[in-house]
Parts: sequence; structure tokens; C-alpha cells
Amino acid sequence: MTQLVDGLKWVLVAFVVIGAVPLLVANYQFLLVALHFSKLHYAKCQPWFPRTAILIPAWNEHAVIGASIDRLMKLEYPLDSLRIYVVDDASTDATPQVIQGKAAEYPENVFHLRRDKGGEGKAATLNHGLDIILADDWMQAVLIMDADVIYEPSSLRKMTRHLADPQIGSVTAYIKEGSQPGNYLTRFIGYEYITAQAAARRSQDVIGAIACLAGGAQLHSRANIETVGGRIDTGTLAEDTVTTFKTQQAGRTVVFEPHATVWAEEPGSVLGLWKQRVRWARGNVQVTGMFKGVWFRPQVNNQLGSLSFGLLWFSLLLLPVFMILASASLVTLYFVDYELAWVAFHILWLTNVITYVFITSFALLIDPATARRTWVQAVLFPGAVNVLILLAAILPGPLGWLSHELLHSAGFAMTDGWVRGIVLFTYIWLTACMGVAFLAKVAEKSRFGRFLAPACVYIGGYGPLLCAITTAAYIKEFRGAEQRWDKTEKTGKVAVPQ
Amino acid sequence: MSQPREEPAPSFEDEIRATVHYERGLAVKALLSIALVAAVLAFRVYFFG
Repeated sequence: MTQLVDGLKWVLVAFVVIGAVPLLVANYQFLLVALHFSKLHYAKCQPWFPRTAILIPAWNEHAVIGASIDRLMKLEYPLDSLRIYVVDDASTDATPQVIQGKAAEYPENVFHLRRDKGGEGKAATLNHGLDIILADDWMQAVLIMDADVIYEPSSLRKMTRHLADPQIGSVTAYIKEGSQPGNYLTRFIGYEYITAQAAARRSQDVIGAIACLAGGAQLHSRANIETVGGRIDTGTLAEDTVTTFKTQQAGRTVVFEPHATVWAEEPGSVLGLWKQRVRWARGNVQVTGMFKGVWFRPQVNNQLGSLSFGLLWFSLLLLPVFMILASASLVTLYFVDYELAWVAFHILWLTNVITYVFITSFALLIDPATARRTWVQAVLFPGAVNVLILLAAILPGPLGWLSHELLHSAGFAMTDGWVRGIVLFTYIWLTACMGVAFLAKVAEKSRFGRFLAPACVYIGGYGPLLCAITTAAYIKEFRGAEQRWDKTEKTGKVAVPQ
Repeated sequence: MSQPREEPAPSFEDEIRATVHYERGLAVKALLSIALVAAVLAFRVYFFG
């Protein structure tokens, strides 16, 4: 019996320590960013302006599509090599009229493609456009973008210069959150995009395998789009990722161009974020299954099967599982062997401190302009309570004294019971923070949602909110819930910050 | 494919040079962040064991 209990203890300790794996992988990922300079593709770049078809899917985009076309016409790109195809997905607002107006204004460059039967999702809309663009041989490259995003004038030419190398199949840009005026949530997303785009894609560049071309900024050579079948996958919720994987499986390279900047409007409400990210997370689960033969199986012509890429992919995919497992194991250990639980927690939390300090400081340095707008959200990314726990790990003496004084002033004494209670709360909080972040979604609909939702996100954490969304997405996917294309609502409030 | 067009060569090269310089700078920034982690750990060990 004793042996069984001892065995159980060490299994629980192992689960807690395994909880540190995603953190270690995150550190590894950011260390790779530091090596990005050694893998740059610029030696094979040239000033290169292939005839480029810009493909824009549009459903009820009248608020943004006109201005988007005007901005595209001002790109630093020869107009005789630029055509804009807007695929109107049976819009029911004034979108067709706006596009037709622009087609009349720029008859050589703007084309209105109408689908009379819409609502089949972005991929089906794009395929309608691709069928037409591929039907003649004018197009040498195709840029797939969203209706509302803003390309900085130099962005497209910075992307096309990579296509001078025929080995390059696709190029993606750095998507930045650009809502003006933003709110607390868009600033969280702004910081998140430093880590998920500027940093993650650089590290993937170093590995030689890109996980996903940004949906709003994917440039393909004609040869590449033909090689992947001339169509975008319609069977999953992650059509961008499927195209990215197929490109690399075909032996072509995907490049991230971090200096081509594209501004996008991201959700300003937890509900909007929830819908968008559930779709993304379900898509990632589908891709994981669709490419099950790829993982951890090195290939000759691509790096998708490399150990590094597999670690990056699965540590993100399974992050909620790791968190819940670590928390549940700590709580069980607390009752079985208090001292051992404390040791295991220290290992996990020491890794957490290192990760937090390294990644937060480095991410802010990677993109100082965004950092100036989002540093508060960067600091509070794990949530105020988790930051307090991190501080307690760094400054145990002063914070211990402070909590003692606070309890004392409230008429309580810091007894052993209090200490154990705080410790148990800390173990539970590893998972409970996801629940508090989830409450933001519920609270947002309430009368005081304007105040309660931000409070829940700041206390529970934006990172835990993403984990909660991912967990919800897994449940939906494994339940086989209906697969819907919930378009993220756009209001046209995106602008390039001055 | 259309032929590569000639941009003013210094402009293209300057842009690439600046980009490469920025990317090299990221390695230095990473070292700064690692130094910060080391400082935090040293502080923790020195003052609180």
C-alpha cells in the first residue's frame, strides 16, 4: 500500500513538472528569435514586381472596402502589375455598389466578382476568385487579404522581393492590431501579436517551418498556388494553415517578412474574441488530425516533421491540458504530501518566473512601438493574481510581511491555517484563473459588463482567457459541434497609429 | 515572369542593410532579457535564499 501511495506521489510530481514543459518550449522559441539574423533570406531577394492579383473576400464590408481599395491603389507598386479582385460573397448591404464604384474609378485595376449564393465561408469565396484569376496567365502572384486590413505602402513590395527566389512559395507579413481608438482588449491582442506573430514566426523561420500564413496577408507565387491544387481547403476552419502546410509539403519554402507591416482590426469584445479564437483553435485540432503523418517524422523536403516544430505546435495545442493537469496534481499532492507538493510547485513556479521575465521583456524589446501602447497589458498578461504570485516567488520576505500586516490590521493573525489556505488557493488558481477569465464572457452581457468584463480579464489574465477559449474549442470539436464560419465583425476603425 | 525591375540600387540595398541591422539587434535584446532574468534570480537567491 505504501509503495502504491509513493508511486502515486511521484506520478503527481511528474505531472506538475511536465506542466513546465510548455514554458520551457516558450523560452526555446524566444531564444530562436535571437538567431533569426542567421537565417535571413535577403541574400536571395531582389527588387521584384511580379504581376500580382490581390484577392479580397468581402461579405457586407461596405464600411471598409472602399477605403481599403483606395489604400491599395497607393501601394509602392507599379499599377500595371496590380489588379484587385474583390469577391463579393452575396453581400446584402451596399458592398456591391461600393466595389462597382471603385471598379469604375480604377477600371484597369479593380474588378468586382459577385457570388449570388454566399455564406459558404471564406475558403469558398476565395476559390471563386481563384478560379477566375487562374483562368488566364496574367497573374504571377496572388495576395490573399482581408477587406479591412491596412497595408503600409511598402509592405507588398517587401513581400514580393522574396518571390525573386523560385524556391519561395509563400510570404506572410507582420499583422499588427490597429484599432483606433483601441480598448483594453485590443491592447492585450496588440501585445499578444508581438509574441504570436513577430516572435513566433521569426522562430519558425529559424526552424524552417512556418505554422500558418496570416489570413490577412498571404502572398503566393502562381506556381505555388497551382501546386497546392489552385484551391483553398474548405473542409476545415483553418484553411490558411492547411495551405501553409501543403506549400511546405510540396517542397517550397514559406517566409515571414517581419518588416512588411499590415494593420488589422481585432475584436474589441470578449464575445467577439471568443468566437474568433474558438474557430482558430478548432481549426488547429482539425489540422493536427489532417496532417497526422507529419508530426515528429523528419521529411527530406520540409521541416514540418522536425522535433522543434512538433514541440512548438503541441506545447501550444496542449497548453490547457498541461495547466489543468499540473493544478489538479498539486491539489491532490497538497492533501497527500504537503511538503512534496511545495517542492514541485517551486520547480514549476521558478520556471514560470524565468519565462515571464524573459518573454515579457524580450517581446517588448522586439516591437518597441507596440510596447509603448501595450506594456501594461504585457505585464498583466498572466493576470493580476498570477503576477502577485510571481512577485511572491521573487520577493517572499516583503510580500510575506505585507500579507501578515494586512491580516493583522483586519484583526486576524497569520496562523498556519491561513498559510495552508493561501497555498491551496495558489494551487487551485493555476486552473481557476481560466474560470475567472471565462466569467469575462458571461459578465460582458450583463448590465455592468463594461466594468466587470475588463476586471475579470485583468484579474484572471488574458493568457488564461485564451486557454479557456481553447478548452471550450476542444470540447466543441470533440462533441462534433456544427462547424460555422463566424465572421469577425469589422467596423472600419483600424488605422495606422501615428 | 516579368523581368526584375531596377529600383534605385542604393535604396534597396540600404533598406536590406537596415533590416539586417535590426534583426542582428534582436540578438543583443535577447541578451539583455537574459541578463534581466539572471539579475532577478541573483537578487532572489542573495536576499531571500
